[in-house]
Amino acid sequence: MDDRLIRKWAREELVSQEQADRMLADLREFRRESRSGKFVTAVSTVGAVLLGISAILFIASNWQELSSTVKMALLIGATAAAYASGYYLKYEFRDLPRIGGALLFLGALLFGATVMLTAQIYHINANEHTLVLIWFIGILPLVFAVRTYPTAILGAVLLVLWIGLFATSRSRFWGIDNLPYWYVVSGLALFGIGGLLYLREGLEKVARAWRLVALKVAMFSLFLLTFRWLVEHGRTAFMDSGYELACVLSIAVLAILAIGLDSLVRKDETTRLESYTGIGIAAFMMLFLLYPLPDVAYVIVFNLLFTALTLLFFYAGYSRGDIRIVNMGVFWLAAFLIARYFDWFWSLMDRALFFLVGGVILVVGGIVLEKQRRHIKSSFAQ
Amino acid sequence: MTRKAFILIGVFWLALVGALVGFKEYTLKTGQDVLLRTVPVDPRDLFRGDYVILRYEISSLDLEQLESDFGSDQIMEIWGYRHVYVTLEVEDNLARATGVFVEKPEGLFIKGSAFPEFNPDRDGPTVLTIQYGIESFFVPEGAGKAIEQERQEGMDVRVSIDRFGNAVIRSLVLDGREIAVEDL
Repeated sequence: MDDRLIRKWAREELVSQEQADRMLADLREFRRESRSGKFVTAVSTVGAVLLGISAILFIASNWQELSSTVKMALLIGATAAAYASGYYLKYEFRDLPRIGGALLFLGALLFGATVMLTAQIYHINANEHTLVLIWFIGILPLVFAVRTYPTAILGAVLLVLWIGLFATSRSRFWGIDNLPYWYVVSGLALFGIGGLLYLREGLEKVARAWRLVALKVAMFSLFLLTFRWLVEHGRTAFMDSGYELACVLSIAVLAILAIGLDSLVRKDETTRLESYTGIGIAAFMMLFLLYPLPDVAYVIVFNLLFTALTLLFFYAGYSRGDIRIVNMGVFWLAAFLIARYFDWFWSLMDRALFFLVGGVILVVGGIVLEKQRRHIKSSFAQ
Repeated sequence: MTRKAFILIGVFWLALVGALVGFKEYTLKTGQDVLLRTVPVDPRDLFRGDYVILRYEISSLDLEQLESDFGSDQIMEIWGYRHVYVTLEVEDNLARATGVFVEKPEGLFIKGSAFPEFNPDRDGPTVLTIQYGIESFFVPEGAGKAIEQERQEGMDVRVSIDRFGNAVIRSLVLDGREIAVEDL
């Protein structure tokens, strides 16, 4: 609700001046309260993150002054204390719900630290993917029970991290070249699952957090696939591993099913456009992995696809009144333009000319993008 | 979140950590202790953060020199995602590989994931790199250099192997002397 709208109603005598003043005062109070609440959440969440990092660094230092048993007892005690106090503050006493939420989040971090300490004590291999999987599985019920952004984001990040570690542990050449493919289809699957979560009342925050993480992962991976060398190397490695190919294709099928189901239930036009795009990309990834066309053809398609997606971000952000989506589009379009500029023009121009033209393009591009962003932002406010 | 969910999640966390501990403790309590000889590796690859990468004599096995239930033509099929079982013969506590199998063998064996090694001089790979899950030894911050010096003189690792072939590191051994982490 905007102040200008209330004043307009007062001018048109739809509401009395007294009612308008009361509405404006209430609105100001609501905004102040909301800002203050968000600030408390942000500060306490940052505090929880710092404490979690401190616990993980303490474990990493492998300090020998304390025995493993004492360290284990300390960490389990700290996890239980954070988890229980968070629960009581948020759900039983209800007097400090935001701090309670941050403590529950800290509990989720400390649970992971406990898993890592156990792995250190028994010298379980470094970068072992199952440890991250155990952490993810452990906090998954908490994600759906507390339904806050920090725990939902932690869950999505752990899932993404596990997929990366799993992929690199199984493939030839440590699978680094293949990671973008894993992450494009995994991002799409997570996006689809996020869409399905929207259908369940009360899970909107989890759904939004998972979709945002999914978009970032998928866009970053697609950005990498606009580079020719990655397309060539990754695809060759994939063809040598039937098992890995089967895993990625299965995730692509899951993505198509999840996004398709979501689009069938939800009716609005933007969601459908998003869904068709997601299904299209997942199907294209399957085509890419199964049918050998010259790599350059795929590189061109990936570039066109990435450009179209950044434009879709503008459209979706504008339609939904969501500035974060628009900002994402601005970021990826800028990154894409910079990358292609270096790719295409480096060998063709004298370096001085290269930097001159590059500078002009970026400055002019920046002005256009900023103007466009402001225009969209002000149209949201109206 | 309801009180029931709160309790169930707490118990679930304890169960996960307990299972992880229990799984490893089972191997340590019931397993047979053997020594595995480590081999020198490029010092640049020795450290990653605060752990030491361990590579054993049994980490690289040539199928042509060992007993096996599969041929070198099938080597690509076991790539990383099927367990292999390496049978061990113990002499003076030191274990050496005698065979590599995809079916669980009799006697003392250790379980691992196998990756073929490509050799340009041969038509196809006959050598397997095998990871047993005991390739990292975590050390206190800054203690890695001491291990590096010890390792130059040759070092063994005492591991416990249970009846399913799972292995857990117990300690490092130098000239028959156990090295506790605190000594480093």
